[in-house]
Amino acid sequence: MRTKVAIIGGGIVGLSIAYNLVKKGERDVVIIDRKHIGYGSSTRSVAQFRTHFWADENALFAIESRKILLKAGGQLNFNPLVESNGYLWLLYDDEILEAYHRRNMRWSELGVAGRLLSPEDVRVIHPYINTQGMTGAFYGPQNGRLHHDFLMFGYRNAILKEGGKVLEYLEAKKLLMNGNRIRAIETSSEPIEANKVVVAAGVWSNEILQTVGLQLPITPERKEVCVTEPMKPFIKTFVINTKLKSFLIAQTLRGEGIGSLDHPPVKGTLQPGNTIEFLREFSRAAIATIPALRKARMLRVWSGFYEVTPDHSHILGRNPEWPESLYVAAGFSGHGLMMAPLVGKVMAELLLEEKVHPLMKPYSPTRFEEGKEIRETLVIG
Amino acid sequence: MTEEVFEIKLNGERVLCKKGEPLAVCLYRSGVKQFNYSSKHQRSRGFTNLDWWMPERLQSEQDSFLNPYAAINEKGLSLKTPKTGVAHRLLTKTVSKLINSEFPHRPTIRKPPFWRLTSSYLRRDLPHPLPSETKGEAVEPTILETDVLVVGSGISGICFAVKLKELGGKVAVIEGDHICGGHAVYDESTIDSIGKRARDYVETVLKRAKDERVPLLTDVVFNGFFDDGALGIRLGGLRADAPMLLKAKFFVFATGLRDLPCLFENNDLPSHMVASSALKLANYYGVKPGSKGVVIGDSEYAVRTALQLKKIGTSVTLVTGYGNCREVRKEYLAGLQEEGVEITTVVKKMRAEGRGKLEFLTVDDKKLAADFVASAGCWSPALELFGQAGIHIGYSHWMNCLLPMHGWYGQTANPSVFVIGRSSGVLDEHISSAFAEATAYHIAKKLKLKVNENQVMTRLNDAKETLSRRYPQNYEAYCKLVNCYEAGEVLNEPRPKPVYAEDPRKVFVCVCEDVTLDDIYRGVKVHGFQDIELLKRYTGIGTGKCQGKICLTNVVYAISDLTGKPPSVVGTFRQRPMVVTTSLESLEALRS
Repeated sequence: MRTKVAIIGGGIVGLSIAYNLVKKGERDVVIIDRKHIGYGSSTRSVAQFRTHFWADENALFAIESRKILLKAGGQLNFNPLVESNGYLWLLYDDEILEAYHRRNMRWSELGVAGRLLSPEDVRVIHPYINTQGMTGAFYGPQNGRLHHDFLMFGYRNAILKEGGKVLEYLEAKKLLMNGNRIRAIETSSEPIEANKVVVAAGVWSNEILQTVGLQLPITPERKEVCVTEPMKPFIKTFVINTKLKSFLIAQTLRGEGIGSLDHPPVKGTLQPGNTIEFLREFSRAAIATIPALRKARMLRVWSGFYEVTPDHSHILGRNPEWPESLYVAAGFSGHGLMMAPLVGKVMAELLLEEKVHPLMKPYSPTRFEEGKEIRETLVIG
Repeated sequence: MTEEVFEIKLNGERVLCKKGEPLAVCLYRSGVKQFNYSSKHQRSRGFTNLDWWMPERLQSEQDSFLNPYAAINEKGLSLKTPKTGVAHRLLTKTVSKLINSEFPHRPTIRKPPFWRLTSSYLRRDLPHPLPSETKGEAVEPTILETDVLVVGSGISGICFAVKLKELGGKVAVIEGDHICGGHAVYDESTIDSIGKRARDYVETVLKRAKDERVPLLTDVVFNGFFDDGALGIRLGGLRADAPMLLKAKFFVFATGLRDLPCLFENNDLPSHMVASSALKLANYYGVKPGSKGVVIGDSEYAVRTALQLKKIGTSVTLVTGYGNCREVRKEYLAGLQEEGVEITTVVKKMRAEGRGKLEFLTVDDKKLAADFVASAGCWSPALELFGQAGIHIGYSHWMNCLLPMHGWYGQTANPSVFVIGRSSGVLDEHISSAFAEATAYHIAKKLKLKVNENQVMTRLNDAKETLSRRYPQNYEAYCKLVNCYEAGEVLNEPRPKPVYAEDPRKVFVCVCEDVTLDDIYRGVKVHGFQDIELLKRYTGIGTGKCQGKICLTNVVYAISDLTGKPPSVVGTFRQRPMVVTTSLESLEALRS
């Protein structure tokens, strides 16, 4: 098989890139995934999006990405169920509160002003939250949640409609070189020859890059996620407890409480699975944060992976020293879903026009060697 | 001695209860047949099954998420059914014709400004309970440590446990229901191979377990395999659930076959229930499920159900032909006619009718008066356990059932998990317990207990011989399954075209998430989601309170029908823990 652009990885990132390519008129696009689309991470997300990042680069990128996301329902034939319910960071330290206060001035300049709330404010607006020991909270109303599967399906359907290909259950085994360029991808079926190859395989990106001797600074971190039986909607926003292992919870449109907790730490392994330890720690943190969750019933648990880079920011584009025609979009560090709408756009521009979008510049794979890492400290989970 | 009777309240109305009975049984006895309400379609819902995993919920002052079967009634109880608010009801009524899986994706609705409005409306008052902050009594976690843990206390599970105990093994049995003994406890019919009543046979078996002092824990559900162990839950009913860490070298799943609702038009009407629940009501709790019943199914089990329902004085019609997998044996048909059970065969379609409750079932063009329907035409083993244990699932045409792939001793792809009993593919209770005893010898050997190889082989060969002599067709189906397992393959038999209905929009596949057959068609045909995982995410099947226990098999069959792939190639979607939903307060109590 021959194609102009081959994308390894049918997650939200690969799909968004392909979607933007076909939208720009490049229909000769093939996505391959060794399982079904979204298998690795995109279908396992808590499915939230935010604009409040500590690093300017990330905040600017996320703000643009959100703009695209808000319009997606009108453009795709799937509704990504976007809701702007906000994020509420519960804070337990005066210094951190002060830091949020200072950062919020910058966020205001960027057009995404949030609000600092006192514990009394929290009690009034969110009476279900236990405010004991809390020094305040930060509320970011621009943030919200979406339906990860539906966004993925929307991209998929648009790609297929325009004539792009989404090949599932086809494994990329190896990148095949010809001189200093990638000639083709060896797969579990026939090889795919491509003018350009994009690796968007999330945590598994290094597996394929290693076949040409390359490695990105990406560490997999397993995260466990759970949902509760549906409840009457009473959790009004996305609640993050900054003290209790980043306990977080939101309520879906169907009423399920969906949440996670940064525990237990499982690094560098790619075995999905769940632990009893997580169930216990999650339940403790949930009841401590929102006492009414005591009687809520845990419905289902699963796990997925964060593809964590040293600066908790993604890697886009290419290193000039790499084989020609090789591109990367990986290392999203837990932000893949929220960044994907813009990632697709800027990557499509890069692939078709060799144009580097200004917002994309800081994410170059060369930044780690050049000491130009992004200073992202607001990490959730 | 007179039985104690008292009053409880449901939505402010009085309901009479017998002491010691599950809430769902009391309610049904008092004529309350509507348990929940479909928020999407504004339809009354009854229960489909009376089991610890039933998806219906009731609200009490203490707990908003009561499982009406797990909870035993208590004096002074005041219950409510979760309701939708008026605004929500008005909206869904207005657009009821548009409501399906495609609803949020409709061009007008998905447009951002309109979606903002719709989503806030939808969010306002879903028909779910609001959790209460009431703190229950302290929950005590426990640890159950044994060599072999048997899940399921049916005849096979108990026979296995007794045999292993006799051989010197340490064994414990857990049972999710309040009652020990599995389906045989409420089965008044005769087990052919020994000419004994199932109920008497299970009593003998249970007595042996008691004599041998086999630990037998009721209301305890196997709740999932985790990286750091296996978790069980003791269901508390009105009290808090208590977690139980399960430590064992081997897990033996003797979980039997679950009845699933058949698919026909309006199959969500109250009083459509699975056959095992009708029998449980009739034979165990002494509640007549109705006066005019229809039983759907072709298997011996369907015949047995029809005969027993006839015996308690209901008029019964048996509808055959639904599964299309095998014919009812001639000697059974004669027996049915003798007892006065009417028999009719469905060719094309079935449709239930009634306002808020079941009144008629139309089979092709024949209209049968019916005030309840018992589905005995579709069943499945506890697939969620096998999925979690990494066991492959095959499909056997003769069994008309998805089955775990296993060897002669019930051994599976997971070295610590064994499958025995009906869920392994042997229907006759007595013969399946003979196979279970062979498994006991096999595991005893693995535990280094004193058994000689001859004993192990003899047991197995005896069981095989009896099965092949008494039930050659079952033997053949069983051999196919085991041979495939031994060859490292999955049993891939095709499934004949099923009988459905004219209007797939009224055929409910998933009652938790209100998914209709039409939604499945739309996903497969319009969007091209042939992968069951993607279809699950498009429709929401399997993500509700029963976690796919009711819908999975029917969904696999529907996709198989649409795509022409055999059911085992369609495959099952991943069913993750929890097996039964568990309150956070009980999980919080787990110790480090």
